[in-house]
Amino acid sequence: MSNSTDQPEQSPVDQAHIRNFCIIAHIDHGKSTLADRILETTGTVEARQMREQILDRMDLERERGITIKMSAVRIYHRAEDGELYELNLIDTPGHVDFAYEVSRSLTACEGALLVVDAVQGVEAQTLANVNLALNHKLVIIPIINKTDLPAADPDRVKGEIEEALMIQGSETLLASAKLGLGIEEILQAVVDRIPPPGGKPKAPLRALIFDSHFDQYVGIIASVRVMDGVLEPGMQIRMMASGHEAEVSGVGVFAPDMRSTKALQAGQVGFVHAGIKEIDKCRVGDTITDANQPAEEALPGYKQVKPMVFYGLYPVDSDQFPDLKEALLRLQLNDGALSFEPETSAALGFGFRCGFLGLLHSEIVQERLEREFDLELIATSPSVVYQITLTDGSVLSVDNPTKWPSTGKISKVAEPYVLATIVTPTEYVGACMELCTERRCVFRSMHHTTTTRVVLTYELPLNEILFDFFDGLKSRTRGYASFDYDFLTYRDSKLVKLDIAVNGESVDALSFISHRDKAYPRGKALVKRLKEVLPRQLFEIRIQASLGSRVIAAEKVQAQRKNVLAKCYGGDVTRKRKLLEKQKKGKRRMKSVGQVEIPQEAFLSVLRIGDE
Amino acid sequence: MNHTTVRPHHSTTAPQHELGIYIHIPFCVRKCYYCDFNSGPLSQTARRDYLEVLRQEIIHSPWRGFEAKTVFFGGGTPSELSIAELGTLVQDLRQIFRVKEKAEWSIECNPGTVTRTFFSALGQMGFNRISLGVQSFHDHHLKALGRIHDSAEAKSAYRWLREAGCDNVNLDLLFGLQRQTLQEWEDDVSEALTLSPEHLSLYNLTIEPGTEFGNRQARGELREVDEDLSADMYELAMDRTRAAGYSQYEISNYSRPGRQCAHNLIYWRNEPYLGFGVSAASFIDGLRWTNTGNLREYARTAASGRVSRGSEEALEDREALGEEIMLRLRTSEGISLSSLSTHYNFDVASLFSQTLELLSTHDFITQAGDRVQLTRQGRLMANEVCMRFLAS
Repeated sequence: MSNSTDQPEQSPVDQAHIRNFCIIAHIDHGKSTLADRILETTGTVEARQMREQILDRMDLERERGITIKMSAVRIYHRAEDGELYELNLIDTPGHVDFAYEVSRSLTACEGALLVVDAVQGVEAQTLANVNLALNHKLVIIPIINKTDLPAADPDRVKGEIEEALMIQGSETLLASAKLGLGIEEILQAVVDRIPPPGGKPKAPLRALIFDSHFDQYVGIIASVRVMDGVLEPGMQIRMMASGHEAEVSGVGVFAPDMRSTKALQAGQVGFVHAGIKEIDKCRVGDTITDANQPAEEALPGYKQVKPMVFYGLYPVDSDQFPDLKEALLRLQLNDGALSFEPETSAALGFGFRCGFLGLLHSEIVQERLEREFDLELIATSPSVVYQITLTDGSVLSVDNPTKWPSTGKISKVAEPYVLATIVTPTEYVGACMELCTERRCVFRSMHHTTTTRVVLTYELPLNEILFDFFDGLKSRTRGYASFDYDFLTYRDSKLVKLDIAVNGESVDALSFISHRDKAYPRGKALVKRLKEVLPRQLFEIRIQASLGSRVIAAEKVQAQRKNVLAKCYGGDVTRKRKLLEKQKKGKRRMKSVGQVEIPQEAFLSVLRIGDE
Repeated sequence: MNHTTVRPHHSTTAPQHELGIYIHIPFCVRKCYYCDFNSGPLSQTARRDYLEVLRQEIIHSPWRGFEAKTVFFGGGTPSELSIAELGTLVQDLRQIFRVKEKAEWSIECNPGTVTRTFFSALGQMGFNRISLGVQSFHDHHLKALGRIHDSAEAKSAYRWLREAGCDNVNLDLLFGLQRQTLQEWEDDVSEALTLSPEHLSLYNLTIEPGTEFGNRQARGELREVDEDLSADMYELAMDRTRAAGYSQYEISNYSRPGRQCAHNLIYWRNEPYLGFGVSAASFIDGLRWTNTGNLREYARTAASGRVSRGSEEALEDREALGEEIMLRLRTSEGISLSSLSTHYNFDVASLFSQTLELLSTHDFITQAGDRVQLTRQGRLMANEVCMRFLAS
């Protein structure tokens, strides 16, 4: 932990000199670079300490160039009026999967910098983020970034911002975060245009927890925005939702390292810790109040989002089950959208049914589990939540194909639809339409933001997005289209369950739900894909896809005929032995269904069977 | 790396070990595309220096005076050495070790480097087993492998050998080559059988990382050889050699009666051997080590007789047992459960009772009383069999 042992600081500014803001942008439009320049220009971080994307703490964020977890930084800035201002920059994730977290950080702000790439222009996530910001009644400062690029077209982009976002072009600032151009103007606009935080300094304490992480020494460290009152060490506080009480052991700010302060005042953003170790006692979204002088009403928490995509996660090595559980708990601490409960699979043993906001969210969680917690995982085929009305009139929510009732018991099935927005250059409109049509879309609207860019909206079954939709869109539009979606409604649909069996034994982790009209091509595609990824084994393997008792596709993997090292002489012995040990280990890492050994890749193949 | 535990026992009159001695010659005219031995073309000076250092390593060997039952010159291309150079090394070896009267003296020869005179000289020096790297009788395949000779040269070399009176010849051949057909392989085997050597080594080409082929494979430039085709080729090799009176005494080795390679049997029976030269491996008293693979490092340290080591390994009993089974099962004599039990102090039969039963069910092994051997199926799937006996 980087907690400073220095004397706690006293804040030199009053509430009128505080500005709380965030940066929102489509992926790769330069949000993190802008944050870096702001920290550098204001001297918050000295140039020599600067490493790129300082706010993105996780390796994964840096590698993927996206921001998953927000963090907040306190900045001091002397504005043109000669006064000192405290600017709190709250970082937000960029992707729609994280709308929940975007919403968390927006609650702590009064304004937002909207970054738009001077070449790419307005994209799907730009639209989604602006809508969120407007819902939170934030002041938006549009910034056209990357004006240094040869292909930059700020006038066109300004037009797009006016047209699509209904923001006056005259309000738009130009910048090149890379070159550090326009940063002073942006800081001045933050001071001028974003209002200082409201809130009553004398009222009983109300502080909103908008993020938290776990520290092994001091316990949970919560990021908070103080709305009313004062938060200081020694106070007895109460979490208004959980009812848990504790004594504050420290408060402070991120600057960007943790720095203790004497107090956090109404309007300020910072951290608090109170020796709390149990995750469920200090949840993100809860309101902290003074236990001795409690506020009457908690702050509105967040819209609790419901996971939309579900699949099972299983440790490759079954001994890692307890580690997986611990890791999921840790991640859930600051990822309230992640849900999980234990489940068992005949093929995979003990694991967890996990719920995610979307596919990117699921990928990030899986990668974090593997990287930060050193786990090796197998994922089952993904599923959305189906509403099934049974013949007896009762309604069942099913998020797992293995819980699909037998056909005779089903009266009707409804599946979730999303409203999808695709922003694309005009030349790819046909390609986008084709893809959406293949995916059972309902066309909603199409309009041009400029003569060369089009916004398409469709109603799409979420189920169709699970199977290779992003990759399909990317390849058909050479990466130029952007995509975003939001839950719309449930609709009745003709859905069936496809079962996959190897040598007659059903592999529960591979079964999936498909529209009836697509069951045949998908079953064929999956069986074919499995034939490619299943290694030849000591005996022949039959792979079958079936609907109920009817086999609709089948393939065979011939028995392995030859697996022998041609040479083994004096100098080779150690290496050859290690080679065999490796083969043996590889085998152990496969999951056995009956006698058939199934490698990790096989379970991924379900995802790769969009309509190729 | 430091020298560790193993020290020769000079005190006793009769050394406990009958050793195999391996001499590594790391240079060649040109490196073949599949070769993963420590070798390559060297300048005249570098060659001379190497041979001098190699002599020093032999002369200063701590195992001086030990009895040797085989000597094997491998490489690289040992046949690139001059008669004089070879003669010096042979003399050194005879001086330092008690090489048995009937010892097997083998040398690997590249058909592109040999002459009639050379072969006669080999015989006079005492080499009584010559291994000829033929690899293929198809010139386009030889070229594709990066060999320096053609098929005609290989056949003349063989004729010269016989004319020089050599009565123990091995031919090396490769199958599973890029674009090689079953017919081409059948022709190669027939051609070899027509020559009627005492011994045949018929290897499935293995593509090793770091070789020219390995690099091509990494770049996606090689097509994968079909498993069924290479299995057919292997089975063809087994059938044709058997019909011609050879016995398959190891996974890839076939011989006329009594003509097995005594030196290589040492490796597969897990018996002791000493390697001299850069990267050469030794195995004595359960310790296996290799000399450094770095030529300069080797030169610097060999003169003292204390060559720095590239790797060193002493296995725990259970691991050593697994390894010995892996090695011995390669041979047609297989393993004896009781002698393994005695040697390693495990009840081997009950330790592996389930494994043995499973493997018998799949027809990968036969178990006749105490002795376990690979079946034909078992040879094709030897990795599946051997891995099951390994410790980890």
